[in-house]
Amino acid sequence: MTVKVIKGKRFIEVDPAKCAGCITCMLRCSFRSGNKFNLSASCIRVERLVGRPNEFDVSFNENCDACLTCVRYCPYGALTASKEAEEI
Amino acid sequence: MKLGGYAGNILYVNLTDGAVRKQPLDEDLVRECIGGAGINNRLALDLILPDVNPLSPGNAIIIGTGPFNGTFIPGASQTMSVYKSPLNGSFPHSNGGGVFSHFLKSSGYDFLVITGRSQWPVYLTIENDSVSLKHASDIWGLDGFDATDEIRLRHSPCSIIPIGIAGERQSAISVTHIDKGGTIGSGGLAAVMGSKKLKAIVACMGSRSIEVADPKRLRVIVDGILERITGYHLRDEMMRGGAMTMTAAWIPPGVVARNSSELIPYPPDLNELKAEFYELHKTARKKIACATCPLSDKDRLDLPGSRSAYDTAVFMEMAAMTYSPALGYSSGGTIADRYRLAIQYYDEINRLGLDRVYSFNGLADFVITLYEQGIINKGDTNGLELDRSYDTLLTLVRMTAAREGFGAVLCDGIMSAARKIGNLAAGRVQNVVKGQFIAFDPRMSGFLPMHLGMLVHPGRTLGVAAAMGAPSYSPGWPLADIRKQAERCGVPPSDMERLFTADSFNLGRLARHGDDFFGLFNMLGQCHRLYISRFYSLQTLAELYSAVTGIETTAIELKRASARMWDSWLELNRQAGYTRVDDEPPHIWFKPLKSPGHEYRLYDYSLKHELSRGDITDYLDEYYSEREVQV
Repeated sequence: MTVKVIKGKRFIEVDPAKCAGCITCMLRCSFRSGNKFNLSASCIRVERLVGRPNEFDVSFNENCDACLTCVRYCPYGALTASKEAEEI
Repeated sequence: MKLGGYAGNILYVNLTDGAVRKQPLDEDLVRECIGGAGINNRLALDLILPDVNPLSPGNAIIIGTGPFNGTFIPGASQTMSVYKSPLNGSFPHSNGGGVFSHFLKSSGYDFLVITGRSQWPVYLTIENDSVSLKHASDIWGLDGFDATDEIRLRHSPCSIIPIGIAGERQSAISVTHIDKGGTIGSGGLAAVMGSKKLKAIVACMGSRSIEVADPKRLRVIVDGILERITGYHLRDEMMRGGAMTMTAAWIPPGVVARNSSELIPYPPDLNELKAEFYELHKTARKKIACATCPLSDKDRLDLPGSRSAYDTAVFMEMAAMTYSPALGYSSGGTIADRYRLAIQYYDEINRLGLDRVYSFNGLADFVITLYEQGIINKGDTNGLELDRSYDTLLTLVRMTAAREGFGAVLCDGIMSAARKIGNLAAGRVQNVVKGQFIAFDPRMSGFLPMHLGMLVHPGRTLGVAAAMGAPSYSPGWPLADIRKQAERCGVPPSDMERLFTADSFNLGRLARHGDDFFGLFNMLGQCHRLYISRFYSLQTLAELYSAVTGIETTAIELKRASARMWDSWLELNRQAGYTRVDDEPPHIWFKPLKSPGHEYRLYDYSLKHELSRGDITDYLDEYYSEREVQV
């Protein structure tokens, strides 16, 4: 499943199947906005799915400005900057 | 506390009366002991009486994090624990990955100390200042993975350390897994949890921040590390194969069996089998990464016809074993069939929560050997016929975890089993040090720093990973590369000439420096597995530590702090009764390991010189001399 977040002219495409659960995106996100680490303050959320072993739901909250920090630092290619505008 | 990298508190939970106490982390303690294993040791020295019954309320479970946990430093994932072991009475260091350390710190706690005993099954949840014990009667009896799923349904997002059946039944060879991934607790952590009626420890995602002293400096250092990781020539292949990318080459020519007396070779076409296993593994593999790890050495495996299985790093050894009459043999079937069986075995033993590597496999071989030799029979095994088949292995796993039937004899480890069996079985125990098996027989590989670590350190996790890192467990490194490794570990140039000659190195003395380096990983919260630790040097750790905490430090100062951690660990275990006598190498090492057409004998690292017991004694003398302690 692929989900997208769109903010203005920037787009983040998510492929949860590629997510390995390292939460680097969450740490990078909170660090970018506050120079400190706070998982709950991150605009991106990686959450383990119950009953679907070691698979993850990746979502964004309304504060996400699609700065692409999470895309840049995702080691597994689960997040990509998309060029095509699509509906959320 | 003003220092960066720390959440700032120790959380104390008494299961007997439910009392919860939050205590600020003392800055002087942090400056002296850093964190993780360093502070765990101090807490253990203060809180656990050395002669306490490990399964009594007086034992404490101490879980620690380091200043790197909670940050984005690659590999900063580890959770460290210490407790008195029901397996051997020692204080083992045990650590595991996942995201637990990050989640615990997100609620404001660096350390967690659990004491007492609940009257009924409970699990502990931690979310900021809300710390509670919840009834666990409805999940008592679930295996570790099913319990994880059930708890996650109730408390997601969270990180979970559960116990399986073996822990509930207080098996001294029980272990557990953090979030179905990182193994933690060799030496019976799960049994200690079981004795306290504690089904799980749950760190929910809290709302507290971890601040660092110099964010810009930290970002620059980490970006440099990431650049090296992404440029690593094996990274792309590791993304596909995980740990097996590196470990496939480590499979020895056969399986050591029959009480370490013989090596039963794999089939002659092992290399072809390995290649097929590896390709199959890659197609079956879903990457799992611990927090901040860009290399994902953990696996979830999906093969048609079986449920998903997990392991911390699946080796193909077990898959190959299904072809070998040594242990777990299964006749017939395709490669996929064999691999499916191997995965089923991994899954079963992990869910139940038994230590496969350092206890169960050797224990199974031991009792099957006794049975083959007529020393025990069906009268001793509750009617169970013991052979080396896959079905027997699986039956033994289930019985052992449940402490049922013949499993009641096996469930507390090799030394306990030998005593219970009687018939002079205790005198037949081989290749066991401090109550755990030496999983990698040095007669096949040469004597590695890892083996010295396993002689010296009670418990296995740090014993294997420390002592020099990758050259510890992957033999055959050229001397020039070992020199580089020593430099990376922070051996001062002035000492290099003392530790190295033109064609060899002093294994005992060098192991001390490897211990100091890798011990730091367990203090800082870093993963010391070779896949990620290879990108760090002592100097890098010092720079990161300075940037995170604001305590400007040097490599030498950091190394001294690690030495203090080792000293306190030695003191803990000295108080528990361990002496130099317990470091003695097993007798079997000095007898030939027989294989058709070949005999393996104990050689040094370079495989040039056969070793005697006196040589091993010299290694030990040199290790302790270099560590500057009297044991």
